[in-house]
Amino acid sequence: MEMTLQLTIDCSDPQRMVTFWAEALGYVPEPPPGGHATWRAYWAAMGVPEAELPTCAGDVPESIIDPAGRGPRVWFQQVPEPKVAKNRWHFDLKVGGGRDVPLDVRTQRVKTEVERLVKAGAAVLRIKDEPDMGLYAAAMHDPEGNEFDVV
Amino acid sequence: MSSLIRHVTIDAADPFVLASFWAQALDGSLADDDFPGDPAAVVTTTAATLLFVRVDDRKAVKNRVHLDLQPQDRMRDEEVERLLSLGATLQGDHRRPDGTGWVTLYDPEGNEFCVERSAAELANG
Repeated sequence: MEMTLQLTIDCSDPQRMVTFWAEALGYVPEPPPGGHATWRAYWAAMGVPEAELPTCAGDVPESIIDPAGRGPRVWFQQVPEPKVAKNRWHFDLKVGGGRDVPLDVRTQRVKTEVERLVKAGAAVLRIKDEPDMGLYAAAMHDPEGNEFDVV
Repeated sequence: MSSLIRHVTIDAADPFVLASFWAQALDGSLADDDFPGDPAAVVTTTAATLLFVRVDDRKAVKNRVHLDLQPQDRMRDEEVERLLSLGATLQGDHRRPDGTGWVTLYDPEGNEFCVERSAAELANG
């Protein structure tokens, strides 16, 4: 059986999330299909009722894709309600290279990536520096407070 | 430089049971060293790797991250029936009379996910 999947993330500001996560993941905003000028125009052409589209929805891309075709599509869906609890689903971003890479090399890679992501709008929640466990990782928040880890 | 998504990590009360459901749902595979009762379980699929980890806190509010599934070799409605038979439950039926729309389901621990129209159904408009 074949199946494709996308990740959908609730948010209040899709444009901000597209900008941050495209930068974080090396993704690109997904252009509207079929030559349509905007996603909103595409959805209208597909028969989505105007009443179901929030104001400004789809005026600019709200999804990002991996130009290399490795990772799943991610869609940032604007919702009215704010985040109120820790997410039960989160991303782990891999930069260290895995346990075959020496810990000091992994640590430096994670530190460099954390610095880059902070500049892009993320915040450090805590650092897990546990050399006895061979672990150096960072728990972070994206610009809307969604938890993710860098390992 | 940028990051690769290594895992999507999912909090679970019973990682092995939940991972087993998702392995069947996504036609993925459970890691060979995952057994019932383990504190973590990994499901590998062609599109992403899902890591289920045991947590003490229970799900209390709607998730802000969820999966949308698009069947490739069967119709949306067939896929919904298959997932219900695997242990999913219905959250909301958003199918429209003209054949468009989607269905929102809960996995066995109440995580929301959606089943969209198949590739063939989308191609037919």
